[in-house]
Amino acid sequence: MRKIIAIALIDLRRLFRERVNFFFFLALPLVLILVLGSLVADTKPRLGVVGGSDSAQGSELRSDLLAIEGASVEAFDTSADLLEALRRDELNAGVIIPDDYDEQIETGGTARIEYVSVPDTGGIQVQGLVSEVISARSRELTAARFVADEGFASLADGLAAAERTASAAPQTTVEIVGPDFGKPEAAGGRGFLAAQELVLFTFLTGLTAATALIQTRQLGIAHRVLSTPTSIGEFLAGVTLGRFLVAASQGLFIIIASALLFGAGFGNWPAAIAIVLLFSVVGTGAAMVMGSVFSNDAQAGATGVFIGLGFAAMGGCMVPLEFFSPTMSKIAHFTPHAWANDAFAELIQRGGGLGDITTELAVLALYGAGLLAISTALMSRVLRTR
Amino acid sequence: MSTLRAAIIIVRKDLKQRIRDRSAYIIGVIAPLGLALILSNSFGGIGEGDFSIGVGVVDQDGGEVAAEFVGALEDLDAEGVINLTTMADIDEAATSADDGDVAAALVIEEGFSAAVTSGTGGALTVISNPNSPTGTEVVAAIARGFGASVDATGAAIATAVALGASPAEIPALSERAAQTTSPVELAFGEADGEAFDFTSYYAVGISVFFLFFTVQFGVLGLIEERDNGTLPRVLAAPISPAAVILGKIGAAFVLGIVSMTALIIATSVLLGAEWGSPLPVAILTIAGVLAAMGIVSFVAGLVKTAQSASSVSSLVAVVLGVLGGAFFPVTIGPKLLDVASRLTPHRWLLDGYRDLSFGEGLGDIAVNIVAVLAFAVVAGGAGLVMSRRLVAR
Repeated sequence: MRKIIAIALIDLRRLFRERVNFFFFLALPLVLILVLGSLVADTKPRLGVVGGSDSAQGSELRSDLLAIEGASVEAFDTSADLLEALRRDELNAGVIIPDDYDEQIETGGTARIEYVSVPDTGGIQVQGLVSEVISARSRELTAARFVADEGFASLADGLAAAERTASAAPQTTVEIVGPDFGKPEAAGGRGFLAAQELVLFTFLTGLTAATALIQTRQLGIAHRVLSTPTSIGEFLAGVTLGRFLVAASQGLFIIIASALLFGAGFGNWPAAIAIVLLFSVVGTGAAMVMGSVFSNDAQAGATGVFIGLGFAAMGGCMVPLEFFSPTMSKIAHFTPHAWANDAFAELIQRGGGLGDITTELAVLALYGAGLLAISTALMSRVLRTR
Repeated sequence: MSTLRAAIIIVRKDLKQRIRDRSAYIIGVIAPLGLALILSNSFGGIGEGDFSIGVGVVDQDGGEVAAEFVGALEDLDAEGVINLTTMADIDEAATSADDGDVAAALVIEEGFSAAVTSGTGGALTVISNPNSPTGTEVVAAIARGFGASVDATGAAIATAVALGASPAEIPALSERAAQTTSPVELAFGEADGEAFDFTSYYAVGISVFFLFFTVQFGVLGLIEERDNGTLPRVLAAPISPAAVILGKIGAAFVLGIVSMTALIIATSVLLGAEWGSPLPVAILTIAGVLAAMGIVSFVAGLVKTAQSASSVSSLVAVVLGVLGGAFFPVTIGPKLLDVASRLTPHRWLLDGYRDLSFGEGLGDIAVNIVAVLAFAVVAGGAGLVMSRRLVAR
């Protein structure tokens, strides 16, 4: 054990002998905190509204839409402007009130209000809010049309009457409950987004450790260390430990700072820390495998970024696992990322604790141990052939 | 030997070396293309409605209106929007939501039909799968939509009564009220095609992200050769330091341009990504490659060994890429993030490419080109000054 620690310390000393590394290893988490923070910060989905301003019925719908509280709503002059903003990803969704809105209502037709959205979580969130406004308008307008058709009143008077009565009339309620029929954990959504990014970057920074291993090989440190009574396993564990400490402290720094600065909740603290620690082991373990396979750091770097981002995409760090088809979800669970995401989902979306994620943690631990074992085997082959 | 000839020989040697160790293929083409493929496939599925939400339904009511609702859900199932499973009881629904078999289960509460018909308001319950917050929201929206349409009948009757309809008329009125078409309806996603294109978004984002890795091969080569001891040997020959630097810069430039070109062509042909008209894309790409080289050489100037140069410039590439919006839109978020992202060359490049893909021309992205070139000049100039000490004899 003392040997392992000594090897780890030497590696860390070599890393931080260059003072500028301190800055870069600190700057990365800081930028991530900013980005993650903005993901969890109370940013409402953005909705654009266009049309309806120059007609009686249209402007009522327009003001109803502009008054939606769950989104930040902005009015646009033309539908081209709105679509442009949507394409630029400055909006999650847009509503286009047609020019013939009033005409359709008055002549017994159906006015088609167009809803356009980016197919992401924000777009789907806004969809619910917009539907609610349209449903309410539809209820009143349907009632007005009915009484007008039946000859009780004119459309305008009927609408006035419908607005008075409809608000008093009992409405169908839709209640959302959790599987235990209790109130669902509502706070989770945004915190979970931040967790996905955390998983992505913990792995990616963990992979940079591959360079460390290649360097120790190129400099001949590996051979010298192994000429002493030190096993390959001990040597690798030492290199892994050093870089693990870097990756893990970055991860912990990120979750603590983003919680303090932005109130980002990752759920149960000890459990969140356990996930970050184990996942850092997996990341550095993967780095050790790469460090054993490749002999120059350009190749390792290239492959590392690819694997880091590819696994992240496959493991549900970019598109949430909830959108995966059953087959894709099975494939996803070959990546450690999917397990880490599952664990965070348990903490954030179900309010679970350490006891609820034992399976996920065990899988991550297995990944870590397995990767370390593979790299030991690979390294002994590499070193023997020299 | 003339400076230029020496530089060209160095460029050719560097390129040959990169081609031989295959890293240039991996980082320049295969990795970004593979990633863009994975991402646009998973996101594209959502956009094109390839993914359907698992929904369970429990009819505890058994009445006429409830049957109508189940029928509406079956229609959605047939359209492929949802994947409907009829469940026997509420326990089965709760279990399958908990196990993640469905995104949410809808429970039509007992007495629903009667309540709706008599105008007292029915009750629907959505049992959520906590791991599918979005799916749950969609199911709840479907339930609310149906609720609103049946409530409209109730509201119509209530309004008629308020306007003097006699109680005796109500049954006949109810029947006709249910037939009244709604004057308004929400039409979904008709403009989707032109609204947002995930494939182009990720093709652009990932190509720019990887560009800052690709050029590392050329730029960091100088430090690597010094560490290897080949640099002093080259300098011992009658080759000027300027030729060596020029050679390294040339190699990085060629790698960057070739990889971007390969990516632009491959993503257009294979994935159908939109890049815009060729000339402005080419000019922006040249500016982008120069900026990437500038940033990497600046970072390389700050650190001493090749190993830390490569890990630090990878970190910098990741940080700038994330901040610049290569993966997540930074335009939706706090102002601070938006401002910070403008301090990265990535943001200007990405905005420029996206403008071009929307059909804008060279004039519209002049600001972006100038901004990207400014990064190249400032960071690259500083990097060049610092790299001179590497080749000092």
